[in-house]
Amino acid sequence: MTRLVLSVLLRLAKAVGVVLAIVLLNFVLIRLAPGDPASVMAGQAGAADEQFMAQLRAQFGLDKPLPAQAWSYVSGVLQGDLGFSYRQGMPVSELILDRLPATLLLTGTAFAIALIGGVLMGMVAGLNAGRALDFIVSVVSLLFYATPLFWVGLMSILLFSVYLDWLPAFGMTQVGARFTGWEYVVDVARHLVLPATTLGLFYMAVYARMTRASILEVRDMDYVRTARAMGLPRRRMVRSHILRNALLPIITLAGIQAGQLVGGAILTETVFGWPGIGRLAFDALLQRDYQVLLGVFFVTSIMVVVFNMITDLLYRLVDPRIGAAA
Amino acid sequence: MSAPLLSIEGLTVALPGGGERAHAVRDVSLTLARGEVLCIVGESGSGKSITASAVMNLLPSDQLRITSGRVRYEGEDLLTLSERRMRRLRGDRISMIFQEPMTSLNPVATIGVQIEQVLEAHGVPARERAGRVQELVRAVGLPDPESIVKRYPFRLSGGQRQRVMIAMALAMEPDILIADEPTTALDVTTQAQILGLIRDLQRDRGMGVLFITHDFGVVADIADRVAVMQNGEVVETGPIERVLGAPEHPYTKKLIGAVPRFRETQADESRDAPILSVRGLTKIYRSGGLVRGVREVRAVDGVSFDIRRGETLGLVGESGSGKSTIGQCLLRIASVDAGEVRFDGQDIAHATGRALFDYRTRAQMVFQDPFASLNPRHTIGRSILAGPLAHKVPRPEAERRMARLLERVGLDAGAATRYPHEFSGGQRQRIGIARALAVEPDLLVADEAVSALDVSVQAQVLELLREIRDEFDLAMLFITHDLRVASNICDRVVVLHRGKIVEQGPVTEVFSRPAHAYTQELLGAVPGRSWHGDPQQGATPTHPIPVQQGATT
Repeated sequence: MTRLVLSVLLRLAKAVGVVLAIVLLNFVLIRLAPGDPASVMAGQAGAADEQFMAQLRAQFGLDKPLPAQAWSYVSGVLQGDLGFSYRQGMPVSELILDRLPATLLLTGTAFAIALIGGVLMGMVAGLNAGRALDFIVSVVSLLFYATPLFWVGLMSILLFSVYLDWLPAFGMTQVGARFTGWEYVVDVARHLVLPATTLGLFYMAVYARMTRASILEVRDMDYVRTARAMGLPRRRMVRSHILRNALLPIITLAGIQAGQLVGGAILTETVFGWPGIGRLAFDALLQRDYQVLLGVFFVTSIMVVVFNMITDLLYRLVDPRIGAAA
Repeated sequence: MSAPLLSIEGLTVALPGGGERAHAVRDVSLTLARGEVLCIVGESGSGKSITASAVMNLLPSDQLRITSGRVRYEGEDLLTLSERRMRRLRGDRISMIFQEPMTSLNPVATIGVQIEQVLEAHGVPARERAGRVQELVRAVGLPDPESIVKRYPFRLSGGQRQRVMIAMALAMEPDILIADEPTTALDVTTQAQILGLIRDLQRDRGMGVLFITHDFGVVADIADRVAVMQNGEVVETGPIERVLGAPEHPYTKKLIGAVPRFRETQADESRDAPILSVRGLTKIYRSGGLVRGVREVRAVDGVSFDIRRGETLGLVGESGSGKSTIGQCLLRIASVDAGEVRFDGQDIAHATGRALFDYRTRAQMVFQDPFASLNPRHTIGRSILAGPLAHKVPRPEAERRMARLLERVGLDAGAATRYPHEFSGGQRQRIGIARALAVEPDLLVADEAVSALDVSVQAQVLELLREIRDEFDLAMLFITHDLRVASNICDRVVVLHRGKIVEQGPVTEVFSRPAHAYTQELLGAVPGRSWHGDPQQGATPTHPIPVQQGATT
């Protein structure tokens, strides 16, 4: 166990290094874009004389050399200060924390829908390979796989909101209504259905296809043949020999998707008007609100790194061969 | 004779259309009596494994369909049983063990759980299971039964895993055990132990054993009766003494004739100065890192030997002995950590750049796996020409060389424009030899070059290697785990154990008067020794069989 703790600590140290490198890289990349924040602000204020610009630059430290600016940004991040949004007049960390729950709710739900639905579909297809059920599941998952996300979103709004009027199409809560308690939960849940399903469909298809392929592969393994030769009942064989091994690679994929929980919803949030990080980033990009953009980058990269670590740890728990070998 | 325990009657299994032949197995009839070991022996593609799987109704039905025949067990035809009833018989009355111990156990379930599942599947009450698992683990001779049941398969050696599989197969005390090449993937000493274990358990429990193998040595050690299969048909059956001693069918004679056997006469010793001198060769593999500290494995530890022109030196040992690593070090495929490799007077152990590049034309290798060692997307010609062209041999000259070599290894010139998959395993090995010779080397390293081949093809390739060595005056390093093959082709032999040389000398001397205990153990474990006449103990075979002389290849 101490070995496990030690290797986790080592991974953490590496992760901190990676995150710092990402922060620095993001900062440099964004500065490569033409036009600095001062010129954007001046342009929007309508007064762009040289003196005003210089004053702005001095005020925000933009007149210092780039390495110095980078250093002051990175050291700020290290102290938990993600900067200040001039456009919104709020600290970036507050903006992000404000939007984060909405995004996590949306992407977390989409993740759960994709994972559970996809694995179930893959299991049905894989265990019935070659039969009608397999064909149906495969066609459906190919459809999900190949259809662009925004189109699914628009069409589901058209169908479920406009024609059928079953579900709300926009936002996270009903405009004007001030629900509390259980009513609030139901309201949010109703708003959640369309965007979460839309966002989850693609990954659901990916999980379904991968689970199916993995089951087909494991089905022909020598140890499954051994289990058959020993007369194990089919249900036992499927559960403890086929599925147990076939689902291992799904963890890798789930880890990758989980890492994109924050960053991967921009399109869906825009289509459905979901007040999350994705839209915050999108707006920040249009308005050249660099501090906000950097903050979003920072949070998303942390998510990726953290979920990669969790994936690795999970593997150690479910596969006895990993971490014990050599 | 009383009614047989199991009888296979006119079994025919169809192959999917478009293959080389219509049937995998055709009209096979065999019987197995209680307390008897019946060996089905044959080369790859003979249908022996398919016959075994058909008895268990384990054939992949979408590819292999049983078209006719019966498999009678206790008055019932197993082939017509429902899957439900067949499932109950499997692992209970009829059990099966397989070849690949490394992959035949579920990697994510403990040994104990996997044995227990068999008991559970056949209705042993939960409270009795743990005790039965312990009994079984003890019966198959696994060490430390209390803790080994909590281990995962990857912690166990190949031999131990095979013991686990045997424990699972015997859990319900079956009447019949079907063993499909259960020792083929194991080291020779482990093989001897597993064969002994199967023999003992079979005698104790009076089981009938259907034993599938390609190795006549194993047959000689374990069989009561033998059935020889060729191209899906049984060509000869009979008691072991008769089939091995006085084979009737020409194919049986050919197979037995091709089995490599221990040589008694020593070849003339080459008097030349050695072309390759290895002194204190050491190769260390390091693993681990910051967290658990660096672990060192001395794969090769201070090994010294010489090879002369026109001489074949054998490197023999079990897996992990370092024999392949030595081959790789000599060719500089692997780096050398310490020691000297003097080739023609020059130390190439740490040669770089031009010197190393030039050395590559002088030392070449023939690999074990004829399927994996040729690029499937390159024509044979391209593969053979790659070496000479890289070393600036003009194309016309290289092509002349290739044509000559292809002819020399027994392939027609048209082979050059074809792809590897169009050739059989034996032909690919010939191509591998031609490719190695294309740069006109002085040293040829053959790493298990005949181990993947059927016995009759093996004999031909060995003969080819011998001829080529004499013709081109090559020094040859022959790496093998098979002492019979080593005895057959080598002049001198080096016995390796855990990276160290335990013994070396002329092959007949080492094998007839092994000085080191490990060499004695290795030789003692060679299957079918008594049958071939044991040079160590004289001719005291357990089965009185005259040794057949003269290979018919």
